[in-house]
Amino acid sequence: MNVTIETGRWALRYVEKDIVCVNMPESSTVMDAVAAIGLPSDEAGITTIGGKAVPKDHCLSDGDFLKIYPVIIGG
Amino acid sequence: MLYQNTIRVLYIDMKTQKIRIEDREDLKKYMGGVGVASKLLEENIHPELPPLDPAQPVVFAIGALSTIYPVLTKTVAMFISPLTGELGESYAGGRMAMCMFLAGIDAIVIHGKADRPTYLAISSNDIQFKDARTLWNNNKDSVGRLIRDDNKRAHGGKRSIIRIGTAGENQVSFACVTVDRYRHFGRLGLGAVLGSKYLKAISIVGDRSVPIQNFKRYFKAYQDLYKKCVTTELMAKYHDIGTPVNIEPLNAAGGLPTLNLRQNRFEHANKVSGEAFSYLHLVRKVACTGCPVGCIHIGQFKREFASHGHEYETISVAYDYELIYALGTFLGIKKPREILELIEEVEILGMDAMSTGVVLGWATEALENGIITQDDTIVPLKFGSYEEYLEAVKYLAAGKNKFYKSLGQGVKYASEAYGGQDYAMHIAGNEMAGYHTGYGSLVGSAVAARHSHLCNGGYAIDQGLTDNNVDPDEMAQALLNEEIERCMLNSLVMCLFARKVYDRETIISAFAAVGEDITDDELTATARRIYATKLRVKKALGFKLQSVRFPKRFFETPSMRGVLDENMAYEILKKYHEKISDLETAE
Repeated sequence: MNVTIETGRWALRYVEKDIVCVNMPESSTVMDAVAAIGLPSDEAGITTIGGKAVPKDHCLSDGDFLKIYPVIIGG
Repeated sequence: MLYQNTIRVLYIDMKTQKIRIEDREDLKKYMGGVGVASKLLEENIHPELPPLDPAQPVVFAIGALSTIYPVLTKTVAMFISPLTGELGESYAGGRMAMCMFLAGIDAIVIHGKADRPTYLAISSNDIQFKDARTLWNNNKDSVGRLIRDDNKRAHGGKRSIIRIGTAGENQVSFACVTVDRYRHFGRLGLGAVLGSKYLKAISIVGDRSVPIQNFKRYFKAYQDLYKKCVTTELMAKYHDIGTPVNIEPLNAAGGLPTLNLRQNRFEHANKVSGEAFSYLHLVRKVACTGCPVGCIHIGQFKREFASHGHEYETISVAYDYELIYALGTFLGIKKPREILELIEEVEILGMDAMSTGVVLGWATEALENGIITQDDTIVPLKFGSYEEYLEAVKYLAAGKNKFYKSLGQGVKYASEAYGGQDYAMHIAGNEMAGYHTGYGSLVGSAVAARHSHLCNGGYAIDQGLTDNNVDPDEMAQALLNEEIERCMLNSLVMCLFARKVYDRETIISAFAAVGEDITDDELTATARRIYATKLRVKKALGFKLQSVRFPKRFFETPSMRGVLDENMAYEILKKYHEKISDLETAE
């Protein structure tokens, strides 16, 4: 299945492009998608599909648009 | 002091202009920083007197390893907060810690009130009480320039100047203290405390050197830390977009306080995101002395300064997440340029930006609801309308009328006077931070020694939860563990951005490299000793955790973890109180 994954420029330290389309095996999860684009798992904050928050173990579907936000940082 | 078994304390009486220095062995068990400052505060406070009484002390302290290792760059200030009436604790970077270290001073205790506006000029062998009448009523930039002009001797960058603005002079309860150009003792009103002492500024010159012993061992420890800071991912994000990167994830997660927390998302978040600020205004990144990271993001904007003739000035302003939240999303301001201009004005006047934004958010809603009128606010405050806010901050700093005088004592005070307490967004008297992330941030700020999100990082606990189900006992324990650990970290007075750099093993190695053998158990004991000291101070000042009441809105607007249950919040509070009962009486 094909999934479009958007991070944002904050992630360019880890990934080549801030928006990519990847082919994933069926039953892949959000965490699998994070790994597929080479983003360290602890750098992935909230994840949304179609603007709605989804957990990291959520199973992806063909045509999903996954957005990965950075973790919240601070003191 | 480095290589000494004592802590050097400089005592200053503003009234008599007398000073004394004590080298205290007994303070060594508090390590430094917040540990030493807490103990000195406990020794010197007068609980029976109001926070701004001349007899009340202000304490500044640097860390046990300040300056000699990367990122140990901050100074802690402790005092009685005029905002909350209890423990005041605030941190600032810049050059101050280095200058105190090189002046041979670990801590400064100031009390008394000068007969006239005064500034202190401190070096390793000289303390002068200088006439500051010409500095009074001047803003932070003018004061810095005038003090530099007054002391033309070159100091090779080893001078730090801290000063208050007009808000501090007028004793606005959340007046801040500016350190050098871009850093602040921001929260809880240290500026008002200095103002109450007629203390406009302090200049500290670090004019001695401290030879390093066993250089080879020290250098290796330094290099290890330096590499950890600059070659790993631990600090890179703070340099990159910096904390403004938080705007978008908090917005997406529903944890971004917006329009006085009527909303948990801002429809214009993408316009005020960290990336938007970088793209539109970021011109450079600077660092505190001794920090190889450079997290201070400087934005620039152009402003016309004459009504005709096309005359423009370029203004540079430091920005970060909390400022964008408080003077941006919380007030519905959607243009980075307007947020920068508000930040600049608040800084010039010398107020805490977070408290300023929150009190103005409440005032805007109170005006909408008719519990105050435009006779009170003078300008028609309206969410999203920055020009009115730009005027209002001037009225706030000046205490322009009865309403602004009241607002200048914080949103808790103003809402008790005028009404609208359900939407006065404070926690135990301190205006909320920019995280509506869940019980961790809400209850965390209530139980926090100084009611700051930085005491226990409750927002990070919220972020780490795998679902929205919270066990009250586990949440209370997580908050307490982090609060205690940070007491130890703040005895080093590190920048808390670097807390993952300084794990226990690293701290022990850093001490060992300068000849101090300290064990993991001793670090734990010190952390608990410091926290117990803070709790005793709070108790002496009459604080009761069980008396904390949360404004209703926290339970109406959904958080990042959904709608919070009021009963659960109080249950966590109760559990926390039970857990600290033994510490409250510990020595």
